[in-house]
Amino acid sequence: MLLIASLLAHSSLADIIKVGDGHPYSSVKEGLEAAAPFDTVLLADQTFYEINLRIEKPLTLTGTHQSIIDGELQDEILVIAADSVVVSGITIQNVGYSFIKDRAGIRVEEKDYAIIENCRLFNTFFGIYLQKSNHTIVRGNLIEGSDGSTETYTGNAIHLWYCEEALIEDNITRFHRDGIYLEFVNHSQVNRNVSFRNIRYGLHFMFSNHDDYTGNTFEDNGSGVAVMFSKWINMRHNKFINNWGSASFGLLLKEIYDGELSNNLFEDNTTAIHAEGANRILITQNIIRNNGWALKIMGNCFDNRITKNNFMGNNFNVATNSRQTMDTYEANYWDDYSGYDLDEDGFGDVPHRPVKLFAYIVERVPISIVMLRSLFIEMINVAEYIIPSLTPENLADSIPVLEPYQL
Amino acid sequence: MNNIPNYTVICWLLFCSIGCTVSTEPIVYGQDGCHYCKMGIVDQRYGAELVTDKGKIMKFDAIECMINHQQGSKDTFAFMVVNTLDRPAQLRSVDSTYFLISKKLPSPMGMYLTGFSTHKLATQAQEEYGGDIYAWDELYEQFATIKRYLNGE
Repeated sequence: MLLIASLLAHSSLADIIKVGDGHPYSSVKEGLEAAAPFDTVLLADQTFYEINLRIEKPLTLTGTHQSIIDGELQDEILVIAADSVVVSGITIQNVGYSFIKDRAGIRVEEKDYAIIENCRLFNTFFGIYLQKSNHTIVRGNLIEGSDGSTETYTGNAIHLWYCEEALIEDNITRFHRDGIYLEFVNHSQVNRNVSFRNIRYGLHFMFSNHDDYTGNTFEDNGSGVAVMFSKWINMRHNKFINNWGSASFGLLLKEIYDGELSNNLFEDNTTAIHAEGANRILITQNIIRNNGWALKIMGNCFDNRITKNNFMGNNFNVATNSRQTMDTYEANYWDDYSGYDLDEDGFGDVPHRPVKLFAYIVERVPISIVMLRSLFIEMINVAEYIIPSLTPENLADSIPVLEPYQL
Repeated sequence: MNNIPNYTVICWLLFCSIGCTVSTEPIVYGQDGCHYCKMGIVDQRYGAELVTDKGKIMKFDAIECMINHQQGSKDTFAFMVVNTLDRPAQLRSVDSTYFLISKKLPSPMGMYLTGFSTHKLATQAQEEYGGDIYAWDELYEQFATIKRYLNGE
């Protein structure tokens, strides 16, 4: 009884503070000041023109998508400066850009256990900015910069800096610099987000370890995803689609160790996967189709395993700048494999060497790409295939499969 | 028919004159990629560019990428230019730029390195954010040490 009584007493302590015209508090600032810890501040369906709102108590700030806080292109709007704050369901818009300060629609300032969900952020320079904040959930938000066609100066939609154990899921980002940016972020999950038409990357890891991203879609960004200077990153069930441009990749792996890249789809990218200084990565069960280059793997990559992938309809399946490879290629499907399977075990009887001479030449002399599809090139490709002299000798799939995997 | 050799000569001259021009070129933010780290160049405060004596242009998303490249390269450079915090998207020579390394001002590749066009502006920023100001030569010479220090070694 005592327990129930105390629970009841506690719940009655948590009030709902209504804010808006006709309510006791007409501004968000007043509402936040009046609220006691664990109260709910409920915004009416109207636009509030306010900036630099600081939440300094653990409370819930909520409303509907018609509850709008508009910064009128000035300073940042919402700063979470307490643990265990929930912001849900409201709309935040119009933060002015600054070259000095990374202003954000919602900033979490060195506090833990924040939940930001189902909010909409429009034209906020940086969208949701977590700095030195742990155990944060960012879920189900829509974050749009100003239309990317004219404005190149914009921040990241979701920006994490020195965070642990964040959960970033089911968000939609577009027209920002990076859709999701993680710098010094460990033990975090990035799931089922959609990033499209961002200027630089859909998702970007820097100096981050032990993170997973699963089930996301990266479409039509400057590049899809960049994983740089990071370790133990698992990349599964994502889609990397339509990232076109001379400096564009579906996935850029740069100085990365011990990850897994599996069950992803790479389609219609200039380069599907570009690997530089990538080590001990397992690349398996991916569909890599209709790209300019499927896999560009530089000589400074070691001990990667490329196995059971489908390589289909790419201009170049594998390109490299080195004559040696320290990576293993095994049991992949290559659509340009011209071998045979006399013992009918499903594996080709002669190895497949996926680096064409022309791919090697283009890597050395990029402008030679103009000769793509010329008869001369076909002839030297065939000659090289029969008697390898320039392409990496040991870069071969010894047991290529004859039928594509059902993935 | 006699004119054909002349055209060839003219074409060659044109080709050479284009090929031999050594000058900087604007960075196209959002399109150009960093020569060193392959990242897209988007932040107009931190870009950098090198032009070799032979006219080859290399662009960088951060000043630290430019120095990393230089220190691993045998080339000599006709131009070394960078963006500054106070004049975004403008390229200025490193010799007339002041560099602040401050933990409060993160730069794209983790070196906390920002350029300023005047010593006064650099000092103002230093007063606000803390850190150390370097001239180009100092920065270049002490770069490895600074990097080790920032990495906590």
